[in-house]
Amino acid sequence: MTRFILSRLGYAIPVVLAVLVTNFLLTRLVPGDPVTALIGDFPAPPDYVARLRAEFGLDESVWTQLGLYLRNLAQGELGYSFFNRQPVIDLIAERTVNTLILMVPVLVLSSVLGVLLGMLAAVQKVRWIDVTITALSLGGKSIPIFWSGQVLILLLAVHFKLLPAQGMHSLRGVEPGWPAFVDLVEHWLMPGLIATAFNMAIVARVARVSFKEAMLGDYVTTASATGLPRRTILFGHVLPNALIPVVTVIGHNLTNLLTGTIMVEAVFGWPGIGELFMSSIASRDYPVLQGIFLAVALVTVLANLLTDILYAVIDPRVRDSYVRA
Amino acid sequence: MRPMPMAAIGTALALFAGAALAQGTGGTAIFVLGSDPSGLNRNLSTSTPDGLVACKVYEGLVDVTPEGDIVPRLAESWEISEDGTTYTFHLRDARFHDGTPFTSADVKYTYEEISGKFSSVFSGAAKAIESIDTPAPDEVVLHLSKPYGPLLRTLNCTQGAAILPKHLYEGTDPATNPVTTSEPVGTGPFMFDEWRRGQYVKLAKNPDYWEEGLPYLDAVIGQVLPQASSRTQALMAGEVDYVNFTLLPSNDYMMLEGNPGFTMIPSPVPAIDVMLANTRNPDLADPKVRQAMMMAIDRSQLLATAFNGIGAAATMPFTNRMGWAADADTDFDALYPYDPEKANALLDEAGKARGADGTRFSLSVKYFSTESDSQLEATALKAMLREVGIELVLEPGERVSVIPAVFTNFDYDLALVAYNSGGDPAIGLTRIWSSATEGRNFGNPTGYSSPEVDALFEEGQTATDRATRGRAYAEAQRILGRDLPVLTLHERIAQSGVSAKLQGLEEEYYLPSFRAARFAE
Repeated sequence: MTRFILSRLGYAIPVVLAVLVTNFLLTRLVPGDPVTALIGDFPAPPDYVARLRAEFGLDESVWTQLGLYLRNLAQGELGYSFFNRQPVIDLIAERTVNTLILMVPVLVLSSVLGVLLGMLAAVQKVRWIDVTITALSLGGKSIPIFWSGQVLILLLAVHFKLLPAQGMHSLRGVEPGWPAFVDLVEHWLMPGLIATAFNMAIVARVARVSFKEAMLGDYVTTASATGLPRRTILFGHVLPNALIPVVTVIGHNLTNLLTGTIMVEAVFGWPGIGELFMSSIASRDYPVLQGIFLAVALVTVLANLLTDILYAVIDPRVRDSYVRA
Repeated sequence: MRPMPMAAIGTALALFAGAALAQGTGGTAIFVLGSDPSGLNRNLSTSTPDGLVACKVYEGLVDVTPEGDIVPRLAESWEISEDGTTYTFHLRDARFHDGTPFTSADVKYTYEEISGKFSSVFSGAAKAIESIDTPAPDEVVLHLSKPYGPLLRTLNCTQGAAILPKHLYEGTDPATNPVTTSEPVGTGPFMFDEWRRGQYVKLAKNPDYWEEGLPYLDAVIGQVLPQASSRTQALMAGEVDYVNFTLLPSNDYMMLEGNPGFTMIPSPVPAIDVMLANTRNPDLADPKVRQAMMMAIDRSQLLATAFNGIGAAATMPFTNRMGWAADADTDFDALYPYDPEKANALLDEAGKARGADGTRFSLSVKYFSTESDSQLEATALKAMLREVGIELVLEPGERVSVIPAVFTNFDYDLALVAYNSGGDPAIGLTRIWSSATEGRNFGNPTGYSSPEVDALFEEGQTATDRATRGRAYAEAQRILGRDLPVLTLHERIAQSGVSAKLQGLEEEYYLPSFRAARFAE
C-alpha cells in the first residue's frame, strides 16, 4: 500500500508541473495588463508606470519570467501579489480557510444525505424522494446560481430579514464566542445549503442507480434466501457493493473543493478562494493566479489519491490487486 | 422663582444627554468597497477603493463641497498673491495618528516627492508649482511658474494631494512603504484599525482630531462586495449604509428612489459618456464621417434605452453641468440633429459609397464588458449606425485588456468610455482631447491633435478668473464640436445610495471623509 501511494505521488509531480507551466503561459497569452489595474482611471506619469512594470518583472521576457517563477517555487517561494502587495501564501492561506469553512460541512452533509436519500429512493421506492432528487439535480444544472441565489437573498434577507445577505461575519460588532459562532452559522446557511443541495443531488442520483443495481445482484437473493434480516443485507452486503461509484462522485466533489464554489462565493459575498480567483483574474494578478493553480492542482491530485485509497478500503478485490502488483 | 429641585435638574440633564444620543453620536457606519484596495494611499492610485478608505484617514489642505466651494481642512486660511502665482497657507495645529505633529515640512515633502512624482490627478498642479517654501512649521508657500486655475481645488485628498507623514516616508520607496500598502498614518477623522483582505477595512474614530467634537461615529468599515447586484441587496437588507455612486448600478436606482429608507445623493462631479474615434483609421479620418455619425445617432433615444433615462442627452463636448465652461454656440441639437438622411448625404459626400450589401464600411467598437450601460449603448449604436450603412462589430472586453488596447496601442476603431470631470475641465476633461496625454491610460487615444485647442486648454488652465477660463473652454469646445474626434453622447448623473439613518454626507465631495456623518434615530 505504501509503495502504491508513493508511486502515485511520483506520478503527481510531473502532472502538477505541467499544469503550472501551461497555466503560467496561458495567463500571459490572455491580453491584459496588470499595471492597468493598479494605477486607476487617470493618465499616470509614465515614469511611475515603467517603475511598476520593472518592479513586477514584467519588463522581462515570458521565458525569463517562467524560469524565475520555477526557481522561486523550488525554493518554496510563491511570490508577492501585484495588487495586494502581500505574500501570495498568506492571501491563499486565509482564503482557503474561509472556503473550507463553507465547503467542509457542505461535503460531509451532501455525502451522508446523498447516500441516505439514494438508498431510500432505491430500496424503499419512496416516490417523493425520487422526484426531489431529480428536481434538485436538474435544477442545479439548469438554474444558474446567480439567479437562484439572488432570489433567495431578496426573499430571506431583504424581504423577511431572516438571514444576512452577504459575507461571512456581521461587521457591526458581535461578541466573541458563542454569539460569533451563531453569526457565522447564520451567514453560512444560504450559501451552504445551496451548495449542499446541488452536491447532494449528484451523489443521490448516482447512489440511487448504484443501489438499484446492487439490489439485483445474485448475492442479495442468496442472502435473502438464507433468511438474513433485511437490515444486515442492506448494510452488510448491498452498501459496500454499491459504494464504489458513489465514492467516485464524492471524490469528484472533493476535487472541486476549492474552485467548485466560485459562483456561490460571488453571489453571497463569501470571502473564499473563488472570490480571490475572480478578482485576481480581473486585475491580472499573475502571482496570485499561479498560487491558486498550484493549490488547485495539489488538491485535485490528493483527492484522486484519496479516492483510490478508499476504493481499496471498500473493495477487497481492488486491495488484492495492489498487493499482487 | 423657586429653586429647581435637584431631581429636576438631574432629569433635565438626562433628557439633554438623551437628546444628544438621539441626534446620534457613536455607532459604526458601513460603506461598500467594490474590491480590496490596492493600497491605502490616494496619491499613488486613482482606484476608487483606495480613495474611499484613504480619504477618511488622510486630508488635504482644503476640501471641496458638492457646490464647488473650497473649505479649509489642514490649512486654516490662505492668501493668494495678486498675480495668482504665490499661495500662502496658514496651517492648523494637528497631529498624525502616531502623535507626531503635522507641519509645513509634510506638505512640502508630499507635494514634491510623492504627489508630484506618482499622482495622475495631481500632475497639472505639479507642473505649475515651481517651488515650495516653509518659512515656519505652520506656514507653507507655493510658488507657481504661472497661474493655475484649479490649484486650490486640487489640494484635497480626492485629487491626490492628501498630506502624508514625511517622518514615515522619507528615505523609503513610497510604493512599497507599509504606510502605503497596509498601515496608513494620516491626520484625518478616522485612524486605520484592521484590514481583513477580501472582507473589510476597519477604521476607528480619531480621538485627537483637530476639530473639536468630530467625528461622531465610533468606527467606519469598508465592506468588500465585488458583485454589483449584492451591493444594493446589502443596502436594502440594512447591512451596509453607504454605496458610492461609482459602485451603485444605475439599474438599481428605481428600487431605492421613493423608498423612505434611503436617500440618493447625486455625484458632485459631472461625468460624460463618449465614443472615442480612432482618426488613424482611414474610414474615420474625415471629420465629415464623424459628423455624419453624430447625426445618425439619436441621443435622446440612447438616453432612454441605454441609460434608463438617467442623466441627459449630451449637447456639447463637455457637460451642461459645468455651465461656466460651456459655449452657448455649441449645441449638438442644432449642429447635429438626429437626421439619418442628412447623415447619408454627408457620407456620400465624403466618398464613402455603399457596397453591394448596403454597407459603406465596418468598424469595431470596444467597451468594458463589466459596464451594463455600455452593452446596451453599443447595441443601440449598432442599430442606429446600420441605418446609414456603417456596420459595428461589438468587442466587449475586460478593463485590463481594453485599456491597453485603446490607450497605449491605439488598436481600436471606436471605444465607449466614461470620463469623470473631477469637477473641473483642467482636471478631468481636457485630457480627452489634449495632445499631451496621448499614450496614457484615459488620456487622448484618438490621434487628434490641435495646437489651437492645446493653446486654449493651456489658457483655460492658467487663467485664475472663471470668466477668462470659461471663454477659453467655450472656444475650444467650438473647435472640438466641429472636428468631433470624440463624440460626447451622454451626461451622467450618477447617484450614491445612503441609508436614511445615516446623515451628514450631503456636504462631502465624492470620496466622503464621513467626518460629520452620524446616525439619526
